[in-house]
Amino acid sequence: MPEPVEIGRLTFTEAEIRRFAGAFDPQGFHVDPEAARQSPFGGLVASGWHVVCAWMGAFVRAHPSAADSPVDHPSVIAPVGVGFGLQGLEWKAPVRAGDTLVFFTQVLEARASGSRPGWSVFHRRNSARREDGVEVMAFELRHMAPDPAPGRG
Amino acid sequence: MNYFEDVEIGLSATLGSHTFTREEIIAFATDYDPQPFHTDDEAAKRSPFGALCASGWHTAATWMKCLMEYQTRSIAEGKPVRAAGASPGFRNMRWLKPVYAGDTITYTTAVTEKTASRSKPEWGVVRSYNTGTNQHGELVFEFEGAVLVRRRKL
Repeated sequence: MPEPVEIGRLTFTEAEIRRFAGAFDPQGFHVDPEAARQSPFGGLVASGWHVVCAWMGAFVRAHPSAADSPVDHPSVIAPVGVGFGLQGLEWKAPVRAGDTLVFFTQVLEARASGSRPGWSVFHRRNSARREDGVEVMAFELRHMAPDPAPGRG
Repeated sequence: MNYFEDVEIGLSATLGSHTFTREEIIAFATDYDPQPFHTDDEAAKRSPFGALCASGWHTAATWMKCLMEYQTRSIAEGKPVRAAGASPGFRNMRWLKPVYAGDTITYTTAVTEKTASRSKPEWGVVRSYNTGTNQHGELVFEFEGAVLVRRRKL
């Protein structure tokens, strides 16, 4: 089985933590530094939804560019394709303002799609680790992604 | 405050509805899922979905947004609010149908299970089944959530 591959890293600033949480998850320990100090976390922490959305952003940006493929090719329109869902996601440790996360993906299984020619179905284990190596999030994703245009990949 | 002991299995709530505009679909996807079928109308027309649709993570994060708005309304109405803390994660999240620009998704939650935490005696884990349904009555999104809830001090 292939090893986990690093797909990017991101430093979670206080401003970004508060911006995401202000829009989607405005609990005191995500948006209010004083309330966060008095919370069980003892300080501001990122929303778990923020951590997984940041993982997705890194996954898409890490995908090889299809810039010289035909403009209407699926690998240009939907580079990492369509998610079916997740079996499970664990938020394992808090992500604090100033923490840098390293994002990983690991292919557990890949096969040609039975229903959509030119696409493949992937089962992956994805994760985020702090720079000290502590894994803060892990999840298993199933998705369908287009194969590269002929002559590429 | 509503503590772990107060949580009733089977209790359900409609959290609220959200209409996904083209502008916010593009803004979210530009940050967190920058695939052209989420960020570009013309590219989306050529995608398997045929029109601009929201990132699945946008659909998911908006469930959380609606939960928080529901809690804010409950507090304003003087209802007891749950003494909730962190979430250990979730299971079986499924994106069943695309959420297109202009779709209105109504989100729900229902308590399915509660278990005392083995490692943290002051907390229990409450599990829930959560859904999003579009304006045509089609289930578009579901997952099994979990959250820590404080136990009543003895």
